[in-house]
Amino acid sequence: MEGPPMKISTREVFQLAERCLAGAGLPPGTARATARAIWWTEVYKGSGCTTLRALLEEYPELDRTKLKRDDRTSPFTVVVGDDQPSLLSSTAALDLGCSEAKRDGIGIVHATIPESDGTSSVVGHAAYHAARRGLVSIVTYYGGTGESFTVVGTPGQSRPLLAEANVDRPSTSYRQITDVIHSRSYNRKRTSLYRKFFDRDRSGDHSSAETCLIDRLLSESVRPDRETSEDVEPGFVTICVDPFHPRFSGGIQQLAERFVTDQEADFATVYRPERVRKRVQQLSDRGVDVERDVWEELFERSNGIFAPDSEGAQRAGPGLD
Amino acid sequence: MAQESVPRRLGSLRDPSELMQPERLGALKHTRLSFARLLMRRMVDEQWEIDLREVTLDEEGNGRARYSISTPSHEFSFPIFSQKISEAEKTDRITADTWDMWGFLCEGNPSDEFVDWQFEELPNVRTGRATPDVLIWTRGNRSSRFFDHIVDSLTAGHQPDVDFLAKGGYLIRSSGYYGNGLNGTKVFRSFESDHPLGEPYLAQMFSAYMWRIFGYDLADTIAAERNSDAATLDPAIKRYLGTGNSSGMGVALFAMNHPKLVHTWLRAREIALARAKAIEPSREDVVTLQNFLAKAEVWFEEDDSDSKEFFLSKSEIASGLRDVRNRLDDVGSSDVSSWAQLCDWSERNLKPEAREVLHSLLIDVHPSVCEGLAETLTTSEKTDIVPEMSTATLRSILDSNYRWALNIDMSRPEATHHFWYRSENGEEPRLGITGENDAEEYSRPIDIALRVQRLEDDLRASAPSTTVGEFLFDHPEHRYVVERVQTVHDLPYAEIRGNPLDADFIPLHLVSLIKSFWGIQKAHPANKGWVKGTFFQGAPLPEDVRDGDRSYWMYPSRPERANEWRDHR
Repeated sequence: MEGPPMKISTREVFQLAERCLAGAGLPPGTARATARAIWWTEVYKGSGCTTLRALLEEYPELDRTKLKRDDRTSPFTVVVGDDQPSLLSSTAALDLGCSEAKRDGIGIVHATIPESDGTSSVVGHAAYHAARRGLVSIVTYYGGTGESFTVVGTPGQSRPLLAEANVDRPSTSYRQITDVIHSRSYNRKRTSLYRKFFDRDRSGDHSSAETCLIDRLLSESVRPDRETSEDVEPGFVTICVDPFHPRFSGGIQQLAERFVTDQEADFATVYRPERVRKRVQQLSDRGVDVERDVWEELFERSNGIFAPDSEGAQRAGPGLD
Repeated sequence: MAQESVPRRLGSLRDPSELMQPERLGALKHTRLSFARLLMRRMVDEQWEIDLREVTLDEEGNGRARYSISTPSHEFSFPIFSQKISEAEKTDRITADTWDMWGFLCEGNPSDEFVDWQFEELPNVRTGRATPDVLIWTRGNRSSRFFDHIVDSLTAGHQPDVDFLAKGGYLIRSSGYYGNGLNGTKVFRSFESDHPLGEPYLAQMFSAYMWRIFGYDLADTIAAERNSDAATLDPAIKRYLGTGNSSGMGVALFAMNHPKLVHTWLRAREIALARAKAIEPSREDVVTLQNFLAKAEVWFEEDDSDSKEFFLSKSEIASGLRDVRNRLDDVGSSDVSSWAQLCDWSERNLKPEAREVLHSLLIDVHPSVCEGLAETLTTSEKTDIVPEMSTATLRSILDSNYRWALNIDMSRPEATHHFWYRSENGEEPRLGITGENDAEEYSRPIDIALRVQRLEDDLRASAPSTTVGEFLFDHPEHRYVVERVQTVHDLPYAEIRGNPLDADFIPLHLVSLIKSFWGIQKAHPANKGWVKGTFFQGAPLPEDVRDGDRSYWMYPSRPERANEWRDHR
């Protein structure tokens, strides 16, 4: 009998990703964190394995040390991604954004990406993982000549509520924040941010300027910027907001949830927690579809973490006497 | 055995600074919470039906067999492909490319085409594919000495020499169980809530049990093929024998790579023990313990296998158990005010391995101390970093919870003598010698103490208010150990407090730890990283399971030697 169509288990997806990424040169902890992003892409987009294969074809070697932090020259944290894909910088931006949000209430991190970034489908994982850590999150991505999109995440009981909007051009939030970054207004991050986001009439009924700021960040993250995007640098901004931070009077999480519900038509996809739970259960129960050649290539690459067999290695096996 | 419920008083749990030493962990023994024993209880309680539905084997044992298993909620099948291979081909290593037999445990009743396909895939250790209907893939070899002796005896029309069989204790030795998503098998999280194999390792243990049963049917069938008047194996001998198991470095790696599981399983065991120690035993309880001690004493006394320098000899364990019985006789059963008192005495007078047998027996005397604990053996292994934590706080955690790691002198050359890696050939785990082996670049991150020390060095150089997220941006090489520390630092039994890189480190201690969770009964070390042993010796046979026989089956007595062997030495 010829076997049924190729499927691999959910465990194998994660294991293959972790091994491939470690084999490509990432240190073990980073490989594991990045493998989680691949798994997220499989669950939410159905393309984790194919994205991983495409990534490794373009980047047979990954170099985490090429990422630099450039917050010395801007009011927000800037991750200079060099020639490394957004898959790599998004995990770093996630951690920086989360730590800033827990400390200051809001964490904003801009990461630059190469023109040929082929891993944009993975970037939404940062919104997911920030929400898993209890934060409201916005990841707004501008791929230069490529795609632009925004993912909004809010914490949930079991899983976050995620929503993704295609923006066509850089979002207004992306533009505004990168403008602030390039203004080099050192130590005035909040003032600069307010000025950028409140240069038009306020709208809505918000109890505080902070809440209003978040509302603006959300709404302008799904709105394409009206100006020409020629001068906008490709990259993505990760915004994390701690809804329980003392600077907020409350209601931030509800604000984000309401935003997704009220603006549902603006989003290409809303990933409701129950739907995602069923998807994960289905993948666990039935396995993950994968083309055999994709699996074979990933399997071969995953061998990069194993030592080639040798006579010396053979002696070092169980015969340990 | 006291079946009535006992007061749930809890003594203090043992101090991890002592218990988590590798050598100490290597002394732990199976308990009522071990997976093989949990499985056996469920099988008996639910009176599972195990039937040999198909068997086509020739006089060498080449052919196939298929079992069907009925539980109250699920049906399973266990198809087996059997062949006879030469002794030279039996390596028991995961690098092997053939075995005497392979089989799989699956849901329901698979089609013949599916079985054919799985039999073709199963020999491909790394690249073979299963489906989520398959719970376990497993392979095994006949025991070189014992299997042939049994078949020859049965063919000659009489029973085998049980004294000879006792030296091994099994007919079939498995060489691994692949499940929980490996090769495309069903992932553990996908087991339904009422699944009879829904606790950790029950599917693996059930497959081990099925090898035991197939060994008997294989021997009987071959003998019958050779001689129509052949004897069949005496049920008393069947009960006495178990399934062989061979485990090595991979199990030691597992222990180091799964700190949350190790904590979860150890904690359940420690709670059971603490509850048992808090009991003030009745006279009946003392007598029950004395009976159990006597059985265990004989069991260990009869095992003349070489424990080498890694374990206490079986005769010394037997001697320790005899000392406990003598102690109980001396103080008089009415003067044992609590088991804690006896355990305190054993701390001063017994070696760790004998003490752990005593602990296991105390839990057996009071099964109710395990109430509610089997349900706690499943845990999530999810981990994450806490990016907002300050590096000052992280340092403080290292100082208070990882002092054991910081105190290891890693500057000694012997402290970093080894590195651990996996070979491309079957992913076999191996030890290399630092500076001498080119596989060093493939070393695995199991050097927790060294990583903690390097982390501490870099943390010291960072500003105390720096967040972990910021710190890891500049030091991504520490992410692995930071995530581990932040996740398990408050789990007292998570970290094994040793240095696996050290020249004197004995991987076997960690193999022994994990096998105590699985429920191994005997351990015969081959070297410092490889041990053979047995599961299910004394366990009920399918007919006993069907009848719901709840007898205490641990430390079984050796059956009477058959007449043919009475005069043999």
